[in-house]
Amino acid sequence: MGLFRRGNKDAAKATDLPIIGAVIEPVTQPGPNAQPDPNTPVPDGSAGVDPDVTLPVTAAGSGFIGRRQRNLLPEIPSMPAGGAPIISPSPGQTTTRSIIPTGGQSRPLREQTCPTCSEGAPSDAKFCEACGTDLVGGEALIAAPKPLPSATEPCVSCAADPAEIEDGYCGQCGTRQPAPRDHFEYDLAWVASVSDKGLRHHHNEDASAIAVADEAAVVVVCDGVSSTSRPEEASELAADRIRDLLVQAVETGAGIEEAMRDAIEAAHHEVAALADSGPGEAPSCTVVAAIMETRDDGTLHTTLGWLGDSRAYWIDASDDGSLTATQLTIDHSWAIDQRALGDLDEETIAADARAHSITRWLGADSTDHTPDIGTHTAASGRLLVCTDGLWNYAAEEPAMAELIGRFAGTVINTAQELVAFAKHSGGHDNITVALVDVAARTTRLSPAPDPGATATPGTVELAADSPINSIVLPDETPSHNAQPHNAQTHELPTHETQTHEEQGDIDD
Amino acid sequence: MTEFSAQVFQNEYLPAGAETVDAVITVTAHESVAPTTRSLVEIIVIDTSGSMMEQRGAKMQAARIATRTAIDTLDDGIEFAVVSGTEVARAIYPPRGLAPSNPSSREEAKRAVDRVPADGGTAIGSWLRAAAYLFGQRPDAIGHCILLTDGKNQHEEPHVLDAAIAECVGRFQADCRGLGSDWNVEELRKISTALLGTVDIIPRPEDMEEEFRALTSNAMTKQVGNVALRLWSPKGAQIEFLRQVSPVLDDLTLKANVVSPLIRDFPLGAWADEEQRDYHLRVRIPSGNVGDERLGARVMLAIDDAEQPVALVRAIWTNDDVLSTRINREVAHYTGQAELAEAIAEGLTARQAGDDAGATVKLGRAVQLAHEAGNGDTVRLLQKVVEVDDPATGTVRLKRSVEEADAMALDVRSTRTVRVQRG
Repeated sequence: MGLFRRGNKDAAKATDLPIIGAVIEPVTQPGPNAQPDPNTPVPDGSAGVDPDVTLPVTAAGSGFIGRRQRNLLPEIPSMPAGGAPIISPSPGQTTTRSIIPTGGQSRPLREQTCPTCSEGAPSDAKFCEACGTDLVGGEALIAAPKPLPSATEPCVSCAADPAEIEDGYCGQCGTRQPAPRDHFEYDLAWVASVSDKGLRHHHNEDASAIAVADEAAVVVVCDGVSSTSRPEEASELAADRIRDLLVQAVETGAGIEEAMRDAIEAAHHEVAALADSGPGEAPSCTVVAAIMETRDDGTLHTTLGWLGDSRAYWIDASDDGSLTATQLTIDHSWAIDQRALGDLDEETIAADARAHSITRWLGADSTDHTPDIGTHTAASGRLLVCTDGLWNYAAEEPAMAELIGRFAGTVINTAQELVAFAKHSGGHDNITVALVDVAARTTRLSPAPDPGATATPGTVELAADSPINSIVLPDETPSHNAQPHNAQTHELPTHETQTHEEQGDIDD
Repeated sequence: MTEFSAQVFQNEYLPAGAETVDAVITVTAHESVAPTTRSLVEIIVIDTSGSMMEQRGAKMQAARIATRTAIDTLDDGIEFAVVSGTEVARAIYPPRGLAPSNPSSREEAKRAVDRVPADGGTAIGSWLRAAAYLFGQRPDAIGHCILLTDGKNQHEEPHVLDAAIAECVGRFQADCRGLGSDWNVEELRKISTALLGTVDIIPRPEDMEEEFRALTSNAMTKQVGNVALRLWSPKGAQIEFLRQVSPVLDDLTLKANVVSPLIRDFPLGAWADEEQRDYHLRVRIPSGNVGDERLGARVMLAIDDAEQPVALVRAIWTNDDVLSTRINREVAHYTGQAELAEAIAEGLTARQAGDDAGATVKLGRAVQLAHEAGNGDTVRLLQKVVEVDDPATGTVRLKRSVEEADAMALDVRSTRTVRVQRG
């Protein structure tokens, strides 16, 4: 209120107080001390901060990861007997491949067989004449991941300079750059695997490793347990280690079942050691490891070792030509354990919060890392190994058989299509699929192509009676998403929303 | 040294084609072992216009007591000044510049306060300029000002006040208090918002002492000044808003300082150890394809020239409705709190304009929102303006006679929020 009223008599006169800063016209005479010091500069407006004080700012993560929950089959599968009817091989073809030899283990030179296509070759041959596989480096073929965008690549979205990319995000458009683990494929023609982070997880914590050693297929699939720290390290370490040990076992002719146990035991200790190198819950993962050998009588003998809820299925044809799927593994999960004990009824088990929790895994905090070991012998068929990111959408054997029956491409194509199916179905989890199809190994190529023929560069024409019509040479520039060249076209999977709904929300 | 951390609460999943990313960012200052060397300068500006002599001098006497208490609250070593505000700003203590707080300077200051007369007009812009001048003598310190007025800015053109505010931005923080109900809420809010402080009503002179004590104590907890929330957002992005949503609502959007084409700084003022504030960011970014992941923002804290990343605001486009339709609790809560403040402001405006129907609807909605959020303090403030028949449905009737101070209290305190219930 602008009332100009005299103060009480004891108080000093207002005009006795000095005006500050002389920033407005004084309406009364200032007191003797009122003039601001003319030597004191008026601040320029940049006042305020002490340049000596610097403050570290700590980052804190956001979000919350719950304990991994897993969906389970309502019934316990049993180990099947062998001897199912032979089905005609799916028209296969090899696509691009990337191969690194194991080295070190050289064998005495002898009449050799190409480990990729099984074509015979002279003992001194450096390359397989049929498929071009390097025969010198060693017997085992171990698939290495295809090249993926790295720190030296520009932004995948806006092509911004690589220097702009920080923590995997583009500094211009903000797009997350694909990580090598987001999606990776291994392709050894008749053994192949595809892994993808799916649609809901930010990282791919699955891992796979495949190899062909002495005509045997080696396949390892691991699923990192999301609720632990660095599960992606656990799965990769376990998959690579087990593959290497199994390859070694095949090459030295060791007892396969014993080797399987030893390999998983060794991997367990290495994964457990990861817990010492960082904070958080011990890095953990599941595993399914398989070796498929062709016996002298032509039967396919598969040895499996597993921990957790990743699965193996045997895919074969029934008498009427339709496919059958047989689950070869039994999940290590709370629900399965309870059913085995028989103390609780099915409803109680299904309703329990622990129903989907795994009970065995590789990792420092694992109370039981004893793998189950199983063998399977059949006259024909294909081996499918996968994480729950796939089987959650086709858990029952008939559903899995029907699903596989939709695809008729090469081994790698089928694996790609299965991953695509899981993503179309919701992609709630990381997805890893590995397939072994011995029938694809026996494909023979025609002699060298007619130079006059109009062939796409990098491909060779095949004989008219070949089940495939072209092949991409195993060249230096494998593409990330090699398109199949097979004559047969197959439609994208039709996705029954019912499957998805039945599964419900299985997000971790 | 103070260390900062941040947590982001959001639903990063967007339906195909969506461009709007919402996130609540909780920033926490953590106490650390290293001592802070940052000093504080405290300036108390009290209105000594003639109107302070109303109520037989009770207002002025209360202001003297409150100022004495504030002076006594100051720790040794803090530099301070007490300023008398009329149509001009005058030094009460010390006669020139700032004085370091010690027992004898505090006694001298209190004696000077006892002698200060109340006579003259109100020109708040001149008070702010005087404070800026004094703070300018210690540009490295954290500057905090308590500004008390009982009246409107009558002896100064509004543009003069605006210019003074603009000069002071970034130089000190000001907590503004209005005594009684003859002052203008918008005037003080304008100052406190620009100067990163608070505004409140002191309805009765006897409440002033405790308020001054609390303001001074709080100022002395500040360990780090000149903190800014630094946001990087991608090319083509637009920051629709950044508002502080806890402890009080404060829209920071227009306070952005451009650091580089993609980086903006939003000044947050000084922080105390263990202080926690929530911010709601809404950024519009170019839509990605389904399956794409992009950053909506990188959240950093800038203290002086030191910049540290603290959190990421992300966007992932999906066809999965289950994911994209999830509503983040924190974002929803603070969106509701902002709506509550808006409903109160609109309701009070309608009430003042004589639009009883409009006021009833808006204040009813406010009662409903405050009730839902568990904001009991705001419900009680609303109850002084409306009769609440049913808080759940927002059924209210306007009260026929309302104390002006109650309406003003509702107005200034409508921006106070409650934190989201966590855990």
